[in-house]
Amino acid sequence: VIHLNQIGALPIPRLPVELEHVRDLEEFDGPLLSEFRSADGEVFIYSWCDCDEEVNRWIVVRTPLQTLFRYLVGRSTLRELVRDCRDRFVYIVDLDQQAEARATWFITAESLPIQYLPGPASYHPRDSSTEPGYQDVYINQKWDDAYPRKYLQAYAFHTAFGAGGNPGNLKITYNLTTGWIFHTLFDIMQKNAPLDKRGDLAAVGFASPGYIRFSVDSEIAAGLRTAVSRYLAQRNRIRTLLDKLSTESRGEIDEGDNELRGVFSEICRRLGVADDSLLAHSENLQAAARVLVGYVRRIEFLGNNEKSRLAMLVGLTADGE
Amino acid sequence: VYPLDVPVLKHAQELEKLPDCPPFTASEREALAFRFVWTPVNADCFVPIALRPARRVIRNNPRPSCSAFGLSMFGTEKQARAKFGALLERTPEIRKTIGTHLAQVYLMPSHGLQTYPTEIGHFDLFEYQDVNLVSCTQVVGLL
Repeated sequence: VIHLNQIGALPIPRLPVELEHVRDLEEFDGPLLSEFRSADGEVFIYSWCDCDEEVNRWIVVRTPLQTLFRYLVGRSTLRELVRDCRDRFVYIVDLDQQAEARATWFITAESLPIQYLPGPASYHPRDSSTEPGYQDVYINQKWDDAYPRKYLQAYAFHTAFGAGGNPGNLKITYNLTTGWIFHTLFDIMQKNAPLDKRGDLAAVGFASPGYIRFSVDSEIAAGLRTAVSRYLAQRNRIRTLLDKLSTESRGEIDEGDNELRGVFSEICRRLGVADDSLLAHSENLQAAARVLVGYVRRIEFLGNNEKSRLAMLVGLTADGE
Repeated sequence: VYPLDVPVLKHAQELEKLPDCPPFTASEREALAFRFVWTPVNADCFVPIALRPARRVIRNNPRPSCSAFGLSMFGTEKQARAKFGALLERTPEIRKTIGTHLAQVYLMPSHGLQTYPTEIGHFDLFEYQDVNLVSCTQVVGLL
């Protein structure tokens, strides 16, 4: 390992703050980047940078949550996270096999040796970076304040008909004609879900850039992310199908209309929604079709925000798998 | 005590303490796989990370994951080099902790259970007892 004293790093007895491990953000044969929190909620990252036979060396950087989310959605690099950190200094810690600190240094970010600095294309692989129980969203300063409501409505739909969801005794008998009635329906879906599966707004950071944090069931939220990325990957086909379903469902639908039933099922299949269950819990094909159209409009909204980079879901993968 | 006709996995006692380990989808397969190693290739190159003397530990008493008892492999040389490239970009000293060379490993069903490959071609091999992969391994180049 590099002798840090010789490059101007200042040895200090220990980190000036007690930190608790939150999650590993990147790993290969063990952690490479991990998130820690202080008692007063400040976020720090540990980024692996070197080792010898006895210790592993980590760069410790205080990182505001929105800066971390910016990295996790692929808008900045690990290099920027470390070199351009807000404090302009970082800590370096040598940890032994019991994770006990053997040595600690203070060093300005610009003095970090080149061997310890991530490369200019050190983007986060967009997978497995969600914190269990939360869905985080990185938001740009021009974000649409309808985002939390529409996210939670799409999430409510998934608690019934998405992966890991269960509609229970839900019965869709509404004459779905206006936005207000849709709002009520999604509200009922939300209340229909067991308490531990319900989504809620947990925090909003209004800095620019900022973040939104929803408390969620991890499996339901993963299914919703899958639907958004599948929508983005198959946008043209889904929009064509949706236009047809939307137009037809405004009028009377013949329950024996196999073509429309096929369109309905194809949209569900492409987004990972349980079509049989949605039909079984709806009064008829028309009601099910209208609910599906309302749901897909919300997925479309989330997808458009993703595409325009106004609001980006942490943990969204490129291909929806 | 294990039935005689069922192959026993290495570290079976540790694996039993972990839920769904190895995953039920893991299976025996014949495959040419690629792994990061050091040279000369010896048994140390096939020690799972949970048991390595200089593993990366970030917190006290970490719960070992199932994957930590498997050996990381890739389905193709291209996939292995792509992953290495990404790791090198994030941390220039990465060779010190994962290996300096790329090797191809000829895996047979009798070597153990392989997890289903991820989208980047990575999978874990859970070796059977008494398997020695050194003789099935050939270095293909520097990392």
